[in-house]
Amino acid sequence: MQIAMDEIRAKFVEESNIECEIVYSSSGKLFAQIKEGAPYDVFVSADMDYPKRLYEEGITSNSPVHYGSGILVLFGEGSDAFDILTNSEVNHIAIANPKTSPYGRASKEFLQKFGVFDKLKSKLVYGENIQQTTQFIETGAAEIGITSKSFIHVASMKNRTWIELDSSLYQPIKQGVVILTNRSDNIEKARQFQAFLLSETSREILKRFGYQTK
Amino acid sequence: MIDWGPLYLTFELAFVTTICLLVISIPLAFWLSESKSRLKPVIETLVSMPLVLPPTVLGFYLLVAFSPSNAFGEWLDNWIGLRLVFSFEGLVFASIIYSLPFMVHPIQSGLAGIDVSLREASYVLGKSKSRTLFKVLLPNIRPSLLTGIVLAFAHTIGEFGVVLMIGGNIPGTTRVASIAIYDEVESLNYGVANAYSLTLFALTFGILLFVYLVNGGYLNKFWK
Amino acid sequence: MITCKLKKELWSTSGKMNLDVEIEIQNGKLLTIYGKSGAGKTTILRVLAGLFTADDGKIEVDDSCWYDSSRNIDLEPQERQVGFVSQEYALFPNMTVQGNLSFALLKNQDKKVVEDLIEMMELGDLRNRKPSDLSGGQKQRVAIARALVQKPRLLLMDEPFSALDREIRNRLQQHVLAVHKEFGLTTIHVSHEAGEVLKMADEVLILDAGKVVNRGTPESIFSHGGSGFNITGEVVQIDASGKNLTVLVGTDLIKISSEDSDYKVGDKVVLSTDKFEIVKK
Repeated sequence: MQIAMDEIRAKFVEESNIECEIVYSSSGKLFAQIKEGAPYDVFVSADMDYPKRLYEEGITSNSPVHYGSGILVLFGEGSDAFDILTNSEVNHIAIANPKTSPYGRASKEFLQKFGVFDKLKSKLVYGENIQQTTQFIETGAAEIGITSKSFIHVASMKNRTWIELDSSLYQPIKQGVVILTNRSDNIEKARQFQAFLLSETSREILKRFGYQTK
Repeated sequence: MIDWGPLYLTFELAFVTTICLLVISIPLAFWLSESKSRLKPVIETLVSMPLVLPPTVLGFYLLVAFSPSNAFGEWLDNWIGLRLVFSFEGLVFASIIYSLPFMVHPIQSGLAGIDVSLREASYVLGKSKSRTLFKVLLPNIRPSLLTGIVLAFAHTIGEFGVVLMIGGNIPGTTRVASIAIYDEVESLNYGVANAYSLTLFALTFGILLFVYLVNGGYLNKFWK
Repeated sequence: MITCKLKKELWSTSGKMNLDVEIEIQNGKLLTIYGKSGAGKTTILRVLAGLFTADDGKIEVDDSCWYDSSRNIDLEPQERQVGFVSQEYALFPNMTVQGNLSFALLKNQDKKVVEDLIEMMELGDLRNRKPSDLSGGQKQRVAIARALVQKPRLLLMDEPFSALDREIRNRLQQHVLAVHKEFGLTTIHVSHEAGEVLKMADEVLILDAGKVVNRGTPESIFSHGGSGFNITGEVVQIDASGKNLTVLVGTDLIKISSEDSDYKVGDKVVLSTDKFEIVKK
């Protein structure tokens, strides 16, 4: 997500002349901080749940807006997904923690619907987030793993083979954005950013970096 | 419903690590307290490194070093069948490094605090260094030994950064309490996170209190 | 017979000192090394025990060699049959009196010797006490007993009675002499107490600034020739002229005039006379 957001931010600053700073952290931590009044203006999440809960707490000026969806890919060697996953030489399969990551939830759902979850359960290792999941795959600690398509562009993963997973087998990983009311005098600028995130320019960037947009 | 698995795993890790550390640290601390070798300052620095090194750095290097995709990790896996990532053994190994100074330092200063004449008296009586260590020196530094054991134990219970890097959060194997708490907070299950945290707090408080009571002699009447 | 030749450069509070001694002692004898503090007496004992290495020299005990700098031989303390009684007693705090003595036993040694020593050194009532519950004199008795458990080839005692009061000191000197004779030990004893030397030593060696300056029987060393009476005492008072001294001998004060006036309070002196009368009190 980071590379995509960096480029979007750069373009936004260029076009609107509004200074903009991005803080990257896990959604859970950010949720807790924002609830306690952290000075952020916009919350761009990797799912819809966290922004929705902020909306229910009354800290946002709008309900979450869907800006794009994550796509799952499977990194590994083999002719197809089934082949890669059921390879007996594989000892560890990395996925994100279903409890804390929407990608993890989707990965687990995919494996279940694909019919291999029970068989492969003992081989699963859980990354705290997709960054760590990808790190496990990248260092080879896990021979294969499921993570976000955005990582295929990352330098260390460029030479690895991957397959996009059948999206019908998992609920779309809808990602949402909300405008926060913690700093009321910035709301107008925040609205501009949100609008920019939904614009054609941003959609094109997101698509390029492995996300699905409407 | 709370799963007590992570708590059990945490204490199992702390217990195994502490025993291993005791076995490793006693000879090491003894050597350090006696040695006049030029290597001594280097070894002392290495032993103290885990105090200053961020746990995530240690975890990261262990992840890279033991990954089967590189030569060393592959050799370990093929020859000894030992996998130090995503395994309980890996956590023990990492914890031993991480908590090493907490066991070595108290024992080393305890030994250094014993008058050298005791050691010499034992040697002149014909007793070997190891006999002297176990029959004369260690019995006289019981408070230091206890401090080392307790500190190493408690420190391992609180371990997070290293486990996060090389554990893989596998339930029943590497999902220790500190990781479980982190997960519950992330998924906003504050109730469960609280339960784990309070339990850990109460247990470690109890352990430390016990150490201080024993060291201060308040419980002497129970075993004098 | 035990011979010891050693050279060692030592640094003390008064600067550099070269220890250079040659010692010879027959089996079964008690040799006392006498000298001021800092003369190097403790160093000699530590080198003999193997706790300290000399720069140069040789230590031979009967036919075996414990130390030879020219042949790179330097036996560890564990390999020498030495008993050592240090000034600090060095009793093991975690063991009882009996425990300390039993610890000293060799692998297959008969445990009876522990009982014998407890009796000889009058430690019976103290056997289950820990060192922290003992007085100075009691600790010293235990330290001596422990050094004797193995009936060592060479017994070394470093000012073992210095911290004790007169009465206990006398009793312990008797004990040590008795055991020395009973076990047929060869003993080197360090002291800076002239009276002690006279009482205990077969031979005395005077050490000054690292060198042996005199050697012989106590009587020959401490008297100025002739037969007669030799008593040691300590100058406790000098009058204005510097020639009238009050000397403490045992617990008696004796007034003496001397031709020399370079005495000072605290000096150890020997009073000798050729003629004396014995009178009933």
